[in-house]
Amino acid sequence: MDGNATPLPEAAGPAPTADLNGRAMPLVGFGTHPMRGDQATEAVLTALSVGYRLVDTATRYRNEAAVGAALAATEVPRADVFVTTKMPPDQVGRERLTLERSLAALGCGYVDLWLIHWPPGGYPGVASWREFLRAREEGLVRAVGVSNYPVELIDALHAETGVYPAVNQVQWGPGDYDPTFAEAMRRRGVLLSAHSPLRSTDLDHPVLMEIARRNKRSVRDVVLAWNLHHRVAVTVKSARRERMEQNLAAAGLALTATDVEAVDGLSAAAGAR
Amino acid sequence: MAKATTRKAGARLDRLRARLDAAGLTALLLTSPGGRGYILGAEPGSAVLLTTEGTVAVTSGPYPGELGALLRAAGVTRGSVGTETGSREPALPLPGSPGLSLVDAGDLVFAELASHDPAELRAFAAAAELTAVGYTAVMDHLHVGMDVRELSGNVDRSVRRAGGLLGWYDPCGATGAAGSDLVTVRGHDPATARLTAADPVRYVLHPLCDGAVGYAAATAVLSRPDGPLRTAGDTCAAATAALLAALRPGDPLRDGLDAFARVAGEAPATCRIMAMHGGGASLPLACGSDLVAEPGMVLGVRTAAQVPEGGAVELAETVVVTGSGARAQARTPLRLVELH
Repeated sequence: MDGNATPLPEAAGPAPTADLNGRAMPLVGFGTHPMRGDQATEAVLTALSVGYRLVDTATRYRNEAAVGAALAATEVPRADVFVTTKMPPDQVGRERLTLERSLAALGCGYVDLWLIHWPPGGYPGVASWREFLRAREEGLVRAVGVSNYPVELIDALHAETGVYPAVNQVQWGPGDYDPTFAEAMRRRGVLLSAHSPLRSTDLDHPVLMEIARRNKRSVRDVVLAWNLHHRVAVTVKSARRERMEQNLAAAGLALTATDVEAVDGLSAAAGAR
Repeated sequence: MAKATTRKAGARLDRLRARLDAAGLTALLLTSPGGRGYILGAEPGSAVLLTTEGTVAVTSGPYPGELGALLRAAGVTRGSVGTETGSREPALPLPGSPGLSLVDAGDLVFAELASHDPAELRAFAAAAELTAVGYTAVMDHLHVGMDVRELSGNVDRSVRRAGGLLGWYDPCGATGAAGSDLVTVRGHDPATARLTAADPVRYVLHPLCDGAVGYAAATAVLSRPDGPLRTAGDTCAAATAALLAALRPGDPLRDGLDAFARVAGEAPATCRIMAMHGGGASLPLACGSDLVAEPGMVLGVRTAAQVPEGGAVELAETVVVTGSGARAQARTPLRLVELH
């Protein structure tokens, strides 16, 4: 991952992208947790229709088949959709079986990104990582990464295999912002990806509200735009079309350096520096 | 002495009376916490007497003299009285009460406590979903040195966030009492309350939701398992799978117990099948039960294999008997989970 934005195909919507091993990864993705069944299928279809080109699912979500139904039904070509899924930590030793089940449920010959969902037992999960790399070599996945990993576990994977994860998906928002961690990911070439970007954020914080008011946007938009400014991928979820469109449009909000610095300062980690 | 005698209506009583009629019983004595709780909620007492004529009486003990007096007071002087002894013995005369005898009605009670209407099935599905949420909250965060109180806190937060209630009901408990936690953990260092790499962590989850209890158990080890632990895990997983595969509508439920025993062989392993109304506080299915699996039954299945050097692999799941077999509700892994 070199951090430079590359364009998606014209039909792929307005979201900025990162280059992930030669594959354009949209920086705004559609998260599917906790939707299931028809609701998940309809939501993914709607998301694709409004321009999302990254769909984020996981074995744990128990909705891969529903997501797969949407991928089968949409007019958007598979090659234009970036599909991320994740292996839960309780599948150590069963990596290939887990991937095969994911592919079958999704109706895909490959996924674009496969993540270890949590460090198994708090360990790096080196044995699993080797299986992930093997799956990548065999073309079953385009890129491999991790989720909820601290720096030391990422370094442990690299120490054992010489390969850093392409992505680390973590809970990340203004309340979680840790410039040291972000810099550590950047230096290792690991794309930081944010799940639950609003969970730890005080949406009534006066700093965020003032920036939103000045830009005539919502605080939610400001948080998403702040992530994109930092080249952090964001996964957002909503079953409502209007909200989906609004989230995607946040990519068009350009924050000033002053605004970004003000949002940076909202977290405890940033405040402690 | 009887503490109270009341006449109660309601679907549960109506169903039980219909079962008594069908079985040719004139009365039923419920002694298990699950059986009592099913009829009277959390009402304390040693036994509940239910007659086909409509009497519901709470007694301080199922003693023959007291029982005879209670039956006479209810106008019952002849016939068979069902009990939850689990015994396969033939009918026994009730001392001091000529014309009355005691017979085992464990299957009758089990059948009632395992049966559910569609609304209750939805509640159990929701409770099982909460169990899966709790499972994830545990499994994703286990690590060596973790304090089990942190583990419980994770489950508590996650389950409540998902709409569950703060409370528990241990299906295998002896008292059937409710408590204030959602997960029972075994396998930690008792001196520090922290998880170790060597001891398999066993946890039972039992969140409450809309009057139904979710129920599942899992075992994880925070290292690559050694030979004996792996063997116990493989045995427990294979025998549990056999048990579940044997739960087919129209077949005796005991086929599940027999299948487990066949696969476990000489290994030190145990299993039980419980009715989920009242959980394991009701009598588990008797080994010699003749009860047949019927669609709509909700059962708790709990299995364990001991590790000779210490510890155990414990698994549990809530299953619904369908038209074709047994469908797992929580869908937690029924195998030893390795985290390393």
